[in-house]
Amino acid sequence: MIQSKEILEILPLVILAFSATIILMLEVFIKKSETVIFGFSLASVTAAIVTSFLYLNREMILFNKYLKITNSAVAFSVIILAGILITIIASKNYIEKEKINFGEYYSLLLFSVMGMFLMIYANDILVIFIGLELMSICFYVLAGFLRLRQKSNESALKYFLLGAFMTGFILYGIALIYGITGTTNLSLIYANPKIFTNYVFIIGTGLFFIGFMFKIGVFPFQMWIPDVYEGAPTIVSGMLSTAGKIAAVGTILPIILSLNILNFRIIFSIAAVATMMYGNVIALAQTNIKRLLAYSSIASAGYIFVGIAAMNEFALQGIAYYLIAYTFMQLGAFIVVSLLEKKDDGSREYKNVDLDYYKGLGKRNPVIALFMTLFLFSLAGIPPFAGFWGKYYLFYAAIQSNLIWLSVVGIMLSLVGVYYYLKIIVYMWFTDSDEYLIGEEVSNSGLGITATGLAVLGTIVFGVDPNIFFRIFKFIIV
Amino acid sequence: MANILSILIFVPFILSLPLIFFRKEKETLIKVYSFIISLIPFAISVYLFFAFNPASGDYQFVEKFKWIQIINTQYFLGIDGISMLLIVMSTFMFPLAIMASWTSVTKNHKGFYFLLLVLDAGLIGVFASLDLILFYIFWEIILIPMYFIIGIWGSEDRIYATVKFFLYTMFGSLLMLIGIIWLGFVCIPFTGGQFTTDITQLTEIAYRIPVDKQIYLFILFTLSFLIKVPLFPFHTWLPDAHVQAPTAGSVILAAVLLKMGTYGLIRFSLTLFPAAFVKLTPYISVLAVIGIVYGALLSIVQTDVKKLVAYSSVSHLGFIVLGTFALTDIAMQGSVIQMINHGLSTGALFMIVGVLYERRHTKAIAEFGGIMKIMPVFSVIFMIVVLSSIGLPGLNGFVGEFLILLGSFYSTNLGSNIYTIISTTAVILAAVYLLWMFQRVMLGPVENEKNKNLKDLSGREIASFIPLLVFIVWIGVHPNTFLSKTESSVKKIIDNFHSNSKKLGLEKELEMKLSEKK
Repeated sequence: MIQSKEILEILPLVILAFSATIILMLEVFIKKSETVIFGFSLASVTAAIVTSFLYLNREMILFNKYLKITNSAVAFSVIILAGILITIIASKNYIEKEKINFGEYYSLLLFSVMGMFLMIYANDILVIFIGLELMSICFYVLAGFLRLRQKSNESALKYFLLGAFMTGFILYGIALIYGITGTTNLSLIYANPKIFTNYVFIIGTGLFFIGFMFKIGVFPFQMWIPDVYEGAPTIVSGMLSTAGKIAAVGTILPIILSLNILNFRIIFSIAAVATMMYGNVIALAQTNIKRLLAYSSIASAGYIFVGIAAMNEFALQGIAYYLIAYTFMQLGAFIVVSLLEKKDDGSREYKNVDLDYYKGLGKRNPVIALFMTLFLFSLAGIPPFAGFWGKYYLFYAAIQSNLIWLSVVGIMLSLVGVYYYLKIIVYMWFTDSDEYLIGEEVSNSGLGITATGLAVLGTIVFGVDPNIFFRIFKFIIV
Repeated sequence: MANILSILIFVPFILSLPLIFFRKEKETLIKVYSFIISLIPFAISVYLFFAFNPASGDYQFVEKFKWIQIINTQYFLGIDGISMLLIVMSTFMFPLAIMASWTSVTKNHKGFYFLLLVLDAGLIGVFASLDLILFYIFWEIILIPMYFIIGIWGSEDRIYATVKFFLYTMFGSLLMLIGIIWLGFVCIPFTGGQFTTDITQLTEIAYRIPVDKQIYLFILFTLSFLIKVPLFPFHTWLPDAHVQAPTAGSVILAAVLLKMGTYGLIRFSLTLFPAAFVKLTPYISVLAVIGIVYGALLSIVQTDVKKLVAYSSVSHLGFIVLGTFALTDIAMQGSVIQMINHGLSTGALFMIVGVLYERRHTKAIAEFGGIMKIMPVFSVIFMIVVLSSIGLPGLNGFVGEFLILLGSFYSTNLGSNIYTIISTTAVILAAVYLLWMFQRVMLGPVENEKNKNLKDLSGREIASFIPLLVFIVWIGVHPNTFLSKTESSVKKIIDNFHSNSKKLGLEKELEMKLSEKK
């Protein structure tokens, strides 16, 4: 039975749904609504973060067993919200610059977060599916939000077609799982471990995972990532690569751990190695910074899969930590790119996203270059930044499961990654600007710098005191 | 002063932060400020030197706090004689490095001195950490300032050199990271079920790890140290980095950064994995001997003064590695004192190269000749430093090399004195390349017009050499001041090794090696 007071147990979801709807109306009723909408969405995300903490250490199953609140779900949702908060702060100036300052931008963002929440709070495969679709459809629209720009349209269309195709996989997987178990409820499926070895069930879950590997961008389902991230509005790319991935990881991780499919560890390990290799090696040849960050995000998906292959208790905490570090550094890097992007001048291409533009940035704009350097060092996994601990915990989990070979291969591939991160730093600090760039002003964006500053703060705080996270989310267990 | 080591680490870092707010134009103020700041850690480390109790081989000035409970990592600092000496040496080199870059650094002063002070803090951290994770963090932090120092203030090929330096070192340290985590897990059965990275605890139990795993772990750790040392064939990053780095960068790189590798060999490779250490001794000793001779031979043919000094480092560091692997009290004492000696002499040599380069903007030996007549004060200092690097009795180099050769001649671990005999040739080769270089640069007629108007050393430059010369003579005449500080620490490491290997039955293996020799 659904009780009406249960609505109080999912306040973040309710807040997001309501404010996303209200934003749509605000634009109709208030003239010059941009600032109001911005403030309103900021407030609602903050409220969602605060209310999320209410459900810490309160395991419960709600709404006729359709939703399940666990500590790990709360942790993942807070990480997502932190990312979205930074995204929103950075968005205002960016969408003004690109002349796409419409209210539905924020509304779509909040709806997509609602979808993510449904996914990670779900206790039923169909709810996961609904959440995934809600999230994905918002993403398709957001990717094509710069509708006058060819690249953006290309990005949205590619994402949509491939995404729709992959949705078919997930739905087919769900059908097979339902066919063999007679239920879509996850608790009931977990309660019947005999079924786990049934080959129909294995194929079903396999198809289901393939759909999510597509969303996370794991080899061989990663091909959409560079094109989509390159074409989407830069801030949106940052959001897709962080919040979107976290939601997908946060959904399948508890499932993988509960299904106890140690036999398939080798598949996850191979996927991890292939993904790290693909992402890191191809990134070496990139000349467009958005594509480079896209490949680096593929590599990151590979590191996350090292943790997933470990499949032990620590893996969950390690992955959660990696994701929070990843949110700050990856999103931060994308925001920096968005700050440097040239104002919309009716052109069909993004301007100033070539690596050449970053030559001599340290002299032209030392603060932004310094921020970018911190993000890149963190992405390269150098202490004392958060990215180091993220990688450390992931490899810790892998070694705990005795996957020494995977750790050695993985860490060597991350060395390849260090090379292209260093390349950007070399460009920024050690080389001189091309002449036409000297004296060029970067459009001043207070909010953008604030957002980057928040990301820098996160990267450093979580790097210097790796305890904070574990202190808040004690005992994250599935 | 219970947390004097923390103060020592964080003083240079925190006090370097105000540099950001200094006005760019006030260059002198920036230099003077950083110079004074760099003196503070030196003063503290001098206090440490005298407060240190040489009778005890244990870690002193220990600080221990829980840091990350979930992986049982501690903020754990402490020093024994070896690390104490290295800390004193690093804090000693920084004020000199700052003086040496007074006029040679011409752009972005704020950034340069800020990075130098961060480097100072990081290096102290490396030598003072007693937790592997903490050690690793400091080890990696050092890369960042050094990377920028070479990359921004270096000469023409600086980017290639600095990226090579960064990736090479990172390659080693990432493997070490895997080694650290794996070691923690492998030791769980011996600790009573707890993952730990506490060095003091691991030292007592790690020898019980099965030999095959010990060998893997030893390789993961040692590779990173050998790259840092650098031992042949991992040395190729060193000449590049040295030649491209600015003077202060070269001085710190040679004097302190390379010692991180040799320090790691003693502190980790030897104490944690005694069985693997014995098993792999022949391979590494061969590499060390090759490095000693090869580095010396390469030095002879160099046409660039700085490259010559860089290759001589490869040769000298080979001695230190050989002394470590000889595993006798005397040789290891020699290795430790040689780390200091090499820091002093090679640091001074790089400063000398810096003096020449600042005046002529070239490092090619052929460009010079007859400088002695033009710069008499300089030539005296140059001569003393060269002789110290060659190992002339009465100066510091002799003490270290002699102890190493003496200690390794009858070493049971090396098993043969052929290593020592071959290495001794490098002492002669050192005289060849250094004296020949000195002759070509300083003696003879002044042929190059440009050399005729060179100015002799300024007061500041002389002041930056004097402290080095004092210690070069001091260690040469009365090494006991320093040897006595490390004696019991070295003895403890060696004794610990022998007692552990007795438990493992390694002693038999050593005896067998000995009987084969006879």
